[in-house]
Amino acid sequence: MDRHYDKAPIKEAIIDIRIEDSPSLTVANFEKAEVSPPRGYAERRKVMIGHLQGRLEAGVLTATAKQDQVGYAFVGAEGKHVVQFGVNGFTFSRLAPYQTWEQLRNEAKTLWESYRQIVGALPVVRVGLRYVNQLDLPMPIRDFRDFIRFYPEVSADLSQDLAGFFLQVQVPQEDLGAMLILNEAMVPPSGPGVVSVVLDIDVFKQGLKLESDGEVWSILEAFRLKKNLVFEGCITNRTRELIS
Amino acid sequence: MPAVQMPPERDPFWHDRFIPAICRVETGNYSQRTRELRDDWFRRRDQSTFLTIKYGLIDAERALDRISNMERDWDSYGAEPPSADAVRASKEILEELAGALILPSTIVPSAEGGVSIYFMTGRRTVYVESYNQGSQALVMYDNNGDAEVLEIGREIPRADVSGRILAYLG
Repeated sequence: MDRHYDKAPIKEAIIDIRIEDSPSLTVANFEKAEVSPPRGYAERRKVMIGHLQGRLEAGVLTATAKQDQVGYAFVGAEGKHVVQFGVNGFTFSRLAPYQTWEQLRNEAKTLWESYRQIVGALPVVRVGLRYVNQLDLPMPIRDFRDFIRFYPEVSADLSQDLAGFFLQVQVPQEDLGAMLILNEAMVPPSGPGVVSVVLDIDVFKQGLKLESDGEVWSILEAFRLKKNLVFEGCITNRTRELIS
Repeated sequence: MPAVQMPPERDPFWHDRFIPAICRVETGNYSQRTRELRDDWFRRRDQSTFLTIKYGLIDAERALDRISNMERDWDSYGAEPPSADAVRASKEILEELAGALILPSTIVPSAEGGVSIYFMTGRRTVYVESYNQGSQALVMYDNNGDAEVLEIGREIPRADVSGRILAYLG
């Protein structure tokens, strides 16, 4: 299923590839390699990971926070592309407006080659494809079921007014040997007169040990078809009209 | 010297019979699952540039709303509260910078009357100050005490502010 929507609600498409941990690969390697922006990517930013640790001693709670650098991020295409080169993997994001799968994949492939030059031939242990959609549904909404087919069903005995919700399901995809994590949440509206709902589709496979990059891209092609099926399975014809 | 006591032999199925009802649902594992879900959501938010910027901007605007309600002499040295114009100008700057994928480190009222939006890395700090009387300044300084102050609109075009912040912070 490969349907094009003129007003596709995709706010971000993410290709995430993790590599095997290697003690010899640290941020210092990236610095030694003098990681420079890939072609067309002008800005370099540090990617930090935060740690917060609480400790209860003699009845006194103390907390310490620290940040470690885990890689670099580069921003390109007028702020629409973000790529992270980290010590444990590679993440490429395409922000709205989404173009096509082919453009996303080809750009990611080019950047992955640059990443490979730094990290070497470490095997890939996880591959993920994630699409963050934001549906802006016109108010008033009588019933969410008019627009979405994945929603919180509130007992008819209770008030049907919802001020917010967050749903997560984890659905094994046996045909792909993968996992689908579907998050759906009401978020602050993007404008007046709408209710905004984020539909976050993440298909991934972990516990891998792929030596060949060709396999990585084959897996992503299969994930892309799955992602389309999941998206279509979550929306109604009324939503299709809204985004067409 | 006390003898070492062997623990009493336990029914090998005891664990499985009671743990599901007591722990997996109601106590320890329920809390653990809640923590896992929360941590997973934070990881997902951090992985997504869109969600990071969306929620970062919401947090920043909340901080701005909080300081816009400050009263006169909030610092006990007679400082004026941020004016509606300074708050509006700061919101515009925040939105522009969020468009360039830049989020502030902190937002504070200015003792000179206005709002300061800070962006910090380990060694360098930048802040954009929107004064109550309408002007705006871009201030950059580092741990060595080197500083540069530019008036936005006169010495640096507004459109160049985000690029300059990124270039300075590295």
